[in-house]
Amino acid sequence: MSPAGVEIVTVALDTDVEAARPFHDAAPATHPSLVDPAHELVAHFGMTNAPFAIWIDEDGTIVRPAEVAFAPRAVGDEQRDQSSYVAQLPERMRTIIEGMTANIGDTDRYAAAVRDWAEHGAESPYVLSEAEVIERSRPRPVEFGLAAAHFELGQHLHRSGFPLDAVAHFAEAHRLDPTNWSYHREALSLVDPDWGQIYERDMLSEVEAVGIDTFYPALDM
Amino acid sequence: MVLDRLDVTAEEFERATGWKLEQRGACQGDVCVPLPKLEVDADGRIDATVVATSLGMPIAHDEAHGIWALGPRSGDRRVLDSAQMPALVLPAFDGNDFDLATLRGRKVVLVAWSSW
Repeated sequence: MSPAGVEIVTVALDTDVEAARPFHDAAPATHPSLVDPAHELVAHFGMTNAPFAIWIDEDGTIVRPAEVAFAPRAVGDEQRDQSSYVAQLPERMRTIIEGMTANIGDTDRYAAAVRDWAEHGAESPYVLSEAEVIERSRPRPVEFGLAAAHFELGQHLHRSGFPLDAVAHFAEAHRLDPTNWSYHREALSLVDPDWGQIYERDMLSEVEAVGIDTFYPALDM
Repeated sequence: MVLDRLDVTAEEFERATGWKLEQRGACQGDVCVPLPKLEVDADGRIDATVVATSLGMPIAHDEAHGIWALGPRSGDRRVLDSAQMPALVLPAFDGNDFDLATLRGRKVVLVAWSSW
């Protein structure tokens, strides 16, 4: 998805950059392909999962705040289609997964909006005013701010060679700000299988407990 | 930024948070937040918790490791204070830094993805 007139910049939210590198290498990027091990995008813009995107105009003004941004499935990209796999799962798991991914079917609508913006610029109906951009960005109550601080401690301890000591901070970040799935997904990706089940619940149970519709919130466009 | 002590110099506080301590308060760009009178010790150190509290930055602590992290300004506010892009420099996969300000003049869709 790279319509003329719009620069796509991709940023990998991965504490361990090497985890993201194979994906980067598999699809050589012609656009800037950046890494964000500290999750600065989450702190700055309120991305709560991936893929999420913001739109920035020519003047450096954000004209759409963080929202779910799946690219349309490319032709021949069948391996991404997991529907036949999901269909074989027990009903409870299937219901959760289908709920989690219900909103990613909007990919064509999102791509059409990007194309509209490319063509019409500030006249595009998808461009929001500054007040709307701020209003639609995530609230940041004290618990969410504290969650960010715990996530940072967890990241620091993980990188400093104390991955087990990081777990309590990752768990606290998720407890304080449960709908910011970037915290919990990152934490789970850093688990060493030798630790056994170190977080209270498996991913699907966690999503079910927090709210299935919080995983990929519906596009408001 | 993670701190290993909470009595910090003004320079350390600015490096950790981007907020400069001035006569009129803690300032970032055009925004200044008034501070209570800060006690400065003989080494020029102040209590970071006083400034963090005034700015609405929560503090997380790890007792065993003796470290603290200051969270972003929080409370009755949203993630975005303004629609202006903040200064942001991120490394590319090849290790070279990329300054997002170099994209001015173009429309940009900034997409966060992840291996997870």
